[in-house]
Amino acid sequence: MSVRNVLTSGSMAVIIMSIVLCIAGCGGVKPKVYVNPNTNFGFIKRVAVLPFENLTSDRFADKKVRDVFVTSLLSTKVIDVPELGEVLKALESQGITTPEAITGEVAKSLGQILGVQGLVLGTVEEYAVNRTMAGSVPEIAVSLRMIDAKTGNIIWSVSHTEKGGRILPTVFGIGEDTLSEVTVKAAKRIVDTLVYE
Amino acid sequence: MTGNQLMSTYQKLYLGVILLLLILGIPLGKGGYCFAAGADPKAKVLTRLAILPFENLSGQFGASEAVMAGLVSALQKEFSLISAEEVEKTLVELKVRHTGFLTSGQIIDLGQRLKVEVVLMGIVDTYRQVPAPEVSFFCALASTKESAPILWSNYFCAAGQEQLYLLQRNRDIKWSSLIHRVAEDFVRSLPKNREREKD
Repeated sequence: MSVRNVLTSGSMAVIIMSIVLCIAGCGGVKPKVYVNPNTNFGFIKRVAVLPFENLTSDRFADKKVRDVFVTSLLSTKVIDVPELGEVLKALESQGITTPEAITGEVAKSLGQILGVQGLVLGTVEEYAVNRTMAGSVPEIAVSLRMIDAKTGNIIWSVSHTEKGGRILPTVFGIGEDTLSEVTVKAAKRIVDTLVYE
Repeated sequence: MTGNQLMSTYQKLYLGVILLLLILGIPLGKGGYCFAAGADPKAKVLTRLAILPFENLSGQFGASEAVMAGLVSALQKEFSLISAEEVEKTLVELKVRHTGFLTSGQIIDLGQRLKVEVVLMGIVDTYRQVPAPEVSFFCALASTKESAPILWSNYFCAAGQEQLYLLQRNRDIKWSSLIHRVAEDFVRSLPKNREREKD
C-alpha cells in the first residue's frame, strides 16, 4: 500500500466519520403541516390549548405533552395561553366532556368565554421508550390542530413523530435522549411551524 | 525509517485523528438539561412567593415532595416563601383539590388569602433514581391579580448519567447533586426584573 493510498483511505475514513456524526446529530424529520392560506395569523394573540386525547399506554401522556407544548408556545412570546383550569371550566359550561365533541358553534362560544382567537386540540399517539436489541429509543407522536374561534374552521394542523438519537446510542452507547428531552424537541418543532412558517 | 514503518506511522496518525474527532465531536453523555424558555415576566416585583403542591404524574410516590424540597431550598435564598402548612391550610379552606389546573378565580383567591402576588405551580412528569437519576417537571408562575395570567413557565428535564463507552467511563450523578443543579438553574431562569422589598 503506497503512502498516497494510506492518505486517501485515511481521509476517506475521516470524511465518512464526519458524515456519520452529522447524521447522528440531525434531529429527525420535519413535521407534516397544513396552514390555511386564507388565515392571517397576525390576529392570533391568544389560544386555548384543550386537554389532549391520549391514545398511549401512559396514563398521563396527554398532560405531560400538553404542558411541554404550552411552555413552548408561551416561549415564543407572541401567543398567550389561558390556564388549564379556565379551559376546563369553559368546557364544562358548554357541556363538553371530550374535545372531539367540539363543533363550530361550540368553538365560537369557547372563544368568547376564554377570550381566545384559536383553540388547539391534540392527540398523543405515541409516548414511550421502545426497548430494542440496540438500546432504548424514546418516541413521541402527536397530531395537533387549531380551530379558528370565529369560524370554526381548521386553520393549522400538524402531525409529527420525534425519536431519540439512534446512531450514537446504538453505535457508541452514548447520547441517549430521555423521553422528556424528545418531547421538548418535538414541541419546539411543532410550535415553530405555527409561529415561524 | 522504512516505508512500512512510515505507513504504519501514518495509519496510527489517522486513527488518532479519528479518535480525537470522536472524543471531541460526540457530546459526553446527557448529564445536561433541556429547557423550554419561559414567557416574558410582566410582574415588576417578585419577592413573596407561595409554592403550591406540585401535581405528581410520575407514578412514583413522593416525587413531588422530593422535587419541591430541592426547589424550596434554592428559592429560600431569593424569595420570602409562604410556609407549606399555611398553603395547605388555605387550599383546604378554598376546597382546592387539584393544584394542576386552577381557575383564575382560585388563583386570585389564593393570592388574597396568602397575601402574595404570584404563586408557583408545578407538575412532576418524571422522577427516577434507578438505574440513573432522572427528573422532569413543568412549572409556571401565575399572577394573583386581575385575570391571573401566566407570567412565566418553564419545563426542566435532567438525567444524571454520563457514559462514554469508548473510554469505559461511567459517572453517575447523585440525586441530591442533580436536584441541586436543577434548582439552581430554576432560580436563574426566573424573571430577572424583580426588586427586593426591604422587610
